[in-house]
Amino acid sequence: MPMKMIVNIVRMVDHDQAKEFAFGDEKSLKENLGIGFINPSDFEKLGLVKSLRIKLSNSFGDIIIEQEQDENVPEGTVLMPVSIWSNQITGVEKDEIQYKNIEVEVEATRDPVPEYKDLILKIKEK
Amino acid sequence: MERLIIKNGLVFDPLNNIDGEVKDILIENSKIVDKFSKEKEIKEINANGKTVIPAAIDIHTHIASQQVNWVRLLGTKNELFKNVWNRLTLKNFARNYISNGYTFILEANVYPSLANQTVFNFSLLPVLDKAMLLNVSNMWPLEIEFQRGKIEDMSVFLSDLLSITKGFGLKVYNPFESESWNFQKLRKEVSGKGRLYNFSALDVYENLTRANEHLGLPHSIHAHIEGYEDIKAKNNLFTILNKVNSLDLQPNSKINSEIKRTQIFHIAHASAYNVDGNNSELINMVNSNENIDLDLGFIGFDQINPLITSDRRLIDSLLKANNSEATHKLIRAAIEFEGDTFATFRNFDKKNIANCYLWANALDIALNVKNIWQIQFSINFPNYANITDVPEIATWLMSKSARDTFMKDMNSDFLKENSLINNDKILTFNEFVILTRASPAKSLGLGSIKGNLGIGADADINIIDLSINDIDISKNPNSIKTDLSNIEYVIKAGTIIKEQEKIDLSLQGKIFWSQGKPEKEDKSLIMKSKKEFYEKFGSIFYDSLKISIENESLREIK
Amino acid sequence: MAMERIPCTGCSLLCDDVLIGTDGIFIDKIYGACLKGKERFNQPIAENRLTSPMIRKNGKLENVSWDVALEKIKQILANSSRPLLYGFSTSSCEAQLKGIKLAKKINGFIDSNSIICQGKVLNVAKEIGMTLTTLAEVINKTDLIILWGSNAAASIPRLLNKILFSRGKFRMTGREIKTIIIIDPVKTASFGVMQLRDVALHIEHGKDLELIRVLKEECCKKDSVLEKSVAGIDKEELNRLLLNLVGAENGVIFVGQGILRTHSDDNIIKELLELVQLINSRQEKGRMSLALLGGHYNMIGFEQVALSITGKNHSLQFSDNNLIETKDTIINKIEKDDFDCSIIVGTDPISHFPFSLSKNMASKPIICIDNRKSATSDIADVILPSAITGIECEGLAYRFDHVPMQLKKVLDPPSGIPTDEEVLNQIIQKLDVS
Repeated sequence: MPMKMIVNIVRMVDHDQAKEFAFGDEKSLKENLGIGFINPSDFEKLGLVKSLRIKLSNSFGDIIIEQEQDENVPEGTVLMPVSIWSNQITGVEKDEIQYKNIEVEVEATRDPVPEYKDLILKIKEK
Repeated sequence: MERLIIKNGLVFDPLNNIDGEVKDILIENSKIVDKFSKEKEIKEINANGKTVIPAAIDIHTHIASQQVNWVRLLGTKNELFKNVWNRLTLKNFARNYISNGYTFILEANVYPSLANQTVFNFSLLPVLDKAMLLNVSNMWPLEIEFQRGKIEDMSVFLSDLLSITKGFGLKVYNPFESESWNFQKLRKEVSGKGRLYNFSALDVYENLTRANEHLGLPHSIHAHIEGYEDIKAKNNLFTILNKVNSLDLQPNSKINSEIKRTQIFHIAHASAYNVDGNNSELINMVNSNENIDLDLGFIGFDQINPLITSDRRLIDSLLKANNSEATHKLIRAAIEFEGDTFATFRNFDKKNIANCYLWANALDIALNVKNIWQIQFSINFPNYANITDVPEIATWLMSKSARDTFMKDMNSDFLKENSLINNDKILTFNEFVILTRASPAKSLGLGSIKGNLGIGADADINIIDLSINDIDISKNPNSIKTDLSNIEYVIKAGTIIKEQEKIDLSLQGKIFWSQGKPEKEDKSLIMKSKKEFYEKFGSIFYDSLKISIENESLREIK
Repeated sequence: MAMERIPCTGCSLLCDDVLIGTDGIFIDKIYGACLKGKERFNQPIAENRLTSPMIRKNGKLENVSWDVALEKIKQILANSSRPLLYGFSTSSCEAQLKGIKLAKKINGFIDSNSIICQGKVLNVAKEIGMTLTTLAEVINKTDLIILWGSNAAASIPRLLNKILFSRGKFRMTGREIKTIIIIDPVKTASFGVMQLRDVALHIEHGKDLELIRVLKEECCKKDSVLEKSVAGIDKEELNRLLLNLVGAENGVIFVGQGILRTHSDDNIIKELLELVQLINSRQEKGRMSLALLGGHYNMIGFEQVALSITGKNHSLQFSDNNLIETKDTIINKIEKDDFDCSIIVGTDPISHFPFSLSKNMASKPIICIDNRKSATSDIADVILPSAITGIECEGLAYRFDHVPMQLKKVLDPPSGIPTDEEVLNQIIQKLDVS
């Protein structure tokens, strides 16, 4: 049963796309950026276990990411680093890009986090 | 081109005592010469029936500081501003200045930590030669020196600062006024000590005047008197001028030039200090002290004017005067430990009596100061007038009828009371040339190279399509106005940059700078302590203020 | 080995107190830089550095010579009548100038990252005005620091070092005399500096406007006391906030992305600027200023350069080689597909823009000028590598508070790699050759 939550996209020192592009590879890119942080109580409500991932969906698109618990994250929100993964569910409203308070539906999933190159292919698809 | 001859023009060259003589002007390798090295490949301009004068100099303008950008930013939402001021781009400045015969401008207010921005803008300003004044009136690194009057030490630091930022001279402007702002107070007078510092604004005016002479800079200290456009300014003006006179200082310009300045104190936009329209005290002071000079600050009564200032009292009064509908928005910033900046707009109004007095003051001073070499033309651009207003303003100086025509729809009380109504005095064309060319050059310490057509001077020349001696300007102001609005030839460094309608913006002018000559032998201790101040209390190291620029863009005056 | 001081281009703080040890070929020691700075100084040796011009042939990127790459660019631009130019916030002012010159030449539309960042505040300030301050003022006078929607500890790591922990001329007691208030829905790393006198305001998501409005109503008024919570913040905390606002001698509100991008409300920035004005007019002493924090080290530079040259700070549309009026920004140009190619300089919009925009961008030719790999370079049709400004080439940049800083060169770029400025110039010259 998908749960309504909101997403906030932020800069995170340890989850920095530019750094991974410069020094890492596609694997480290996915590991560090295809991720979101949720409050332990939301972790419970979503029926998650460590090995599961979460799928976020809204009118802009959808994305599957790894999840980690973080008690500093307010309940009802998902905190994600700025990346090509998080931008699958952002969009433009009133001529502005929305990076905060993005409404999504969240559910647990076994499906994998898309590879970087799959996202690129999706973007290039005509 | 290498060689140019301007033949048979009617020449006015006041610095060389030439008052309307027909003569040839010879130019070779960007300078004026008495004869050519080779009698070939000489381009000729036939100036028969035309008037030849040196190019003009603006001794007080605001075109390349950060505040101009704030005005541009505010202006993007103001249609009137866009129409009247054409977005204030650097290219438009160059075009307008050149069309009006200018080849040199002095940017009058630059904070040292923002000097990099001004120099960058200078490099984008086509053609014109330029220089900047560093506003050092609020420099906390000089706290001890201001407090104890340590002129030698202060001068070592100021010289170094000028040298790394490529400044030309020093500006004194409402010293430490920003500290009063922190306490939401408007300073009442200049001789009281501060709350955070143990000296007065007057001490800073005095010390910077002394330091300027100690360094022997080409130009004197350039002063904005605190409280301009307010009744406070009158009192402050005389407190400061009396103090300056009491110093018994002789002008001590140390530059290697035949023609040096004779002033030790320059008053900026002198129109602004007598809001009651009574300039007699100021005029008497100037008439009896040849070590003071001033620029006039003409109002043009444009539909809207930017206001770039660091004077909090003026901003305060303008904001209070506007009703909320008409209030122009304000962008203000505290700049490191150097002072404040304000940028906004204002509307002059011929029906506003204070504005009329401001307008009349410039004329009153221009017509009544005995020694015209003690005054220079300025419009405090863009605050008081537009460069395109200069020809109209010229007619007010040279024609009573032009003045009267312009005045006739002004505030009726002003028209009844002001002495200008009955003043028939006008300036001659030669005097106009002194005001706009020769006198600013001399005041800036550039009398040998600018503002004149003598041997060795930079070949910066205007050719006006009118033979001045054949007309009575006072009766035909429109003819001079038309010709000054579109100067037929403008020549810079021997190159024709304007010929009729065509303007060539491809040339690059130079940044004039000077560091003076401090007397103190051992500079290292002083500089070490100043650099430590920056390390302790600055946001950047002192060395980070240093400009990076190719030598070819610079011209040192020493 | 010689140690030298060099301004750091890791973020818009442009710290000039970083010491590096270099033999002119490698940077061996870095002292005083934060993690972002260290990462920046390691860029010259990044594994995925772009080192050669590339063009896409049969779907794959291949190394080619400069001539071939420039020729391809010429072809793309020849077939284009609505080019976009975007990025420039990691380039020097000299390069930004060239970018504007190129845009003018090809009748393009040019914008910098500032349009989705600090530029938003400047754009509102056009209509409201604003009160700014600079770092030395903050160091020496500020006794109240407010971080609103900004995780300074992560985005500008040394900012708090410099302003909160410093001993300024009039704040010699340093940390003890300063109060920091953080307004953020998330308990970020910045909260880690909190001490007893500080105020942590865990505002509810998207409720910043509510808080601003209450503050506008109540701040700096005699005996103003709030009776109920607002925006998820307790009344005790709110009253502490009010007390601090009225008592501060010199306060600064540091504004970050968190408040610049809350849920689709145009007025939030306007109301924040109005709040600052109200505080200034109502306070009996002291002043309140605003500071805009942005990540890229020269976002402000583009605004300043654009203003000086064109009189407009962003979203410059050229037609017939002249600036024309437009209400467009890069966002809606891409959204409505009103472009036919793009030149991207020093930024990665394919990663940073929403999918809908990146998809539109990817469907047209992309020319990418950068020093390192990105999603944009992975999709680009032409890549031109450039030198790392502030390490491999000098230039002018502007700190977040609009103070200019001269950047230095300490290394040569890998051979054959020009600066951003030179690359843009080469494109201009290629187009000049008919």
